[in-house]
Amino acid sequence: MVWDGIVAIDLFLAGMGAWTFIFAAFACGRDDAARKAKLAAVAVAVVAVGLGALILAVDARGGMMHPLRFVHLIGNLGSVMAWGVIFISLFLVGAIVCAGMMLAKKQPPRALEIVTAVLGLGVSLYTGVLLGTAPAFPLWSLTALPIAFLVSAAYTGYAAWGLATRVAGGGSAAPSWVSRAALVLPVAEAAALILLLAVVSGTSGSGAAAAAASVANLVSGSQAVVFWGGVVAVGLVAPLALAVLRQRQGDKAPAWYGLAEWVCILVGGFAFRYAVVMAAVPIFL
Amino acid sequence: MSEKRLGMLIDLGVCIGCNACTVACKQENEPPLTKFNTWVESWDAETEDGRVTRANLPKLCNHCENPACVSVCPTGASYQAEDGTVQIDQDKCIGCKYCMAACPYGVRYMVEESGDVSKCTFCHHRTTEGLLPACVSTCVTTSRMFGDLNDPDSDISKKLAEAGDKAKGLMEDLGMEPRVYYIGLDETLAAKPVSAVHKGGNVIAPYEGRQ
Repeated sequence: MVWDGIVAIDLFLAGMGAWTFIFAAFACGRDDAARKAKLAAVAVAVVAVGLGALILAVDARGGMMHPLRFVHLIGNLGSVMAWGVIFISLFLVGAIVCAGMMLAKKQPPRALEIVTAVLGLGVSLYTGVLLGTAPAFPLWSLTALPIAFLVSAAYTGYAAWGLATRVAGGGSAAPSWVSRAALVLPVAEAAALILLLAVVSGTSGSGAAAAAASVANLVSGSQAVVFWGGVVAVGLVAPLALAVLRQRQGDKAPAWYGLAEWVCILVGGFAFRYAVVMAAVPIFL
Repeated sequence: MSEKRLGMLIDLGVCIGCNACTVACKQENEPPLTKFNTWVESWDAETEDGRVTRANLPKLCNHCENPACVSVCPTGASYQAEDGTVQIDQDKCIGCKYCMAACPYGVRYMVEESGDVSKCTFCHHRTTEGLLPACVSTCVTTSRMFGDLNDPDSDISKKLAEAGDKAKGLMEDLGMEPRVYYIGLDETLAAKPVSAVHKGGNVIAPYEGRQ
C-alpha cells in the first residue's frame, strides 16, 4: 500500500470544499439577506480545502521532518501535484478574501468569485488526475477517474453547501437549478462509476491482472461493503430517493429529509474515495 | 541528449537465484531493514514438457528512458542524471510518495527514519569512479552485465546486439522504456507458476492468487 485512507481524506476534503465554494458563489443570492448563509458555505470551503492541504503536508514525512524542502514544492511544473498546490493555494487566497469581505459586510466582486470558482474546479479536477497519473495502479484510470471524482466532488459540494446554509439560517431561496442538481448529480455519478468499472475492466497488457483484481476488490472483495453500502446505497440511492421525496412533497416535506440527504451524500463521497484508494492493486508484486 | 546511457542486461538463463546480488547491494548501499534496492523473485514453474523448474527474476530500478517517477515528482527531487540514470536528490524529497504510486515496477520505498524515498542508484557512487554496481561485480554466474548502451563497443551493447529480439525490458507496453534488459524474459514469464512467488524467503504473491 503506497497511499492509504489519509490520502482519501485529502481527496475528499479538497473536492468537497472546492465545490462548496462553487455552490456558494452561484446558488446563494448576492443580497444582504443571503450573506450569512453564503459566508458559512465559504467558511466550510476554506476549512475543508485548507485541512485537506494540511493533511497532505503532514502525510509527506520528508517535508514535515525537513520543512525547508517544501520550498521546492512547485519545482516541476510537469507534475500534477505541483499544479494541485498552485490551484489549492490560489483558491484558498480567493476564498479567504471573499470570506473576509463578507465578514466586513461587503459583497465580494463577482469577478473574484468567478475566478475562485474556476480555481475550485481545478482543485476538484486535480484530485482525480493526481491518481490518474500513477500508472502503477490501473484502477486509477486517467480516462474515467477524474470525471467520476469531479461529479462526486460537485455532489458533495452541493451537500456541504446545503448543510452550511441550513445551519446558518437559510438566507434567500436557492435557484431552481439546485433542485435539478440534486437529481442529476447522483445519476451522473452512477454513470461515471459504471464508466470507471468498464474502462478498468477493459485494461489489457501488463496492467490487466492488477486491474481485474482491483475491480474484484471493489465489487466483491475487501472493499465491497464500502462500495455497495457506502458509495452506492448510502451515497447515491438514499440521497436520490430523499431528493425525489422532498421535491414531490414540496413545502410539506419534513426538514430532516434535506439533512439526511446531505449527510448521506457526504458519507458516500468519502466512501467513494476511500474505496478507490484502498481497492487499488498495484501492477508490481 | 546525454552521450552516455547506462543500462543493465540480465541473462535469466544463467541466473541461479542465489541472492548474492541482493546481499552485495545490502552491504554496499545499506537500505533499511525489510527494504531492498535489488532482489530476486523466485517461484517454481512447470515447463511445457511437464518438468518443474525454478524461475528466478532479479529486479531493481529500471532507470527508464521515460520514467513516470520523474514526471510526477512535484519538487524535482527525482531526476535523470547525465548518464541517463534516474536519481533522487534527497535534499528536495518531501516524501509525498507520488513517485512510489507512479512506478509500475515497485522499486521505490520510504525510509521511515528520514521520511525520504529511496531506491537503486545503479551504484552511482561506484560507477562515477569507474567501478561496476555491487550487484554486477558480485554475480557468481555473471548473469548481470552493466555498461554504456550508447557505446557500440561496450560489452553490454555487443551482448544486446547479439541477443536481438530476445533481450526485453519488463512491461515495455507501459511506455517507460526501461533500461534494464533481460534475456529469457518471455520464457520465464510464460512458465506456469506452481508455487507462491518468493522474495528473500518471504511470500510476496500466494499461489492462491493476489488480494
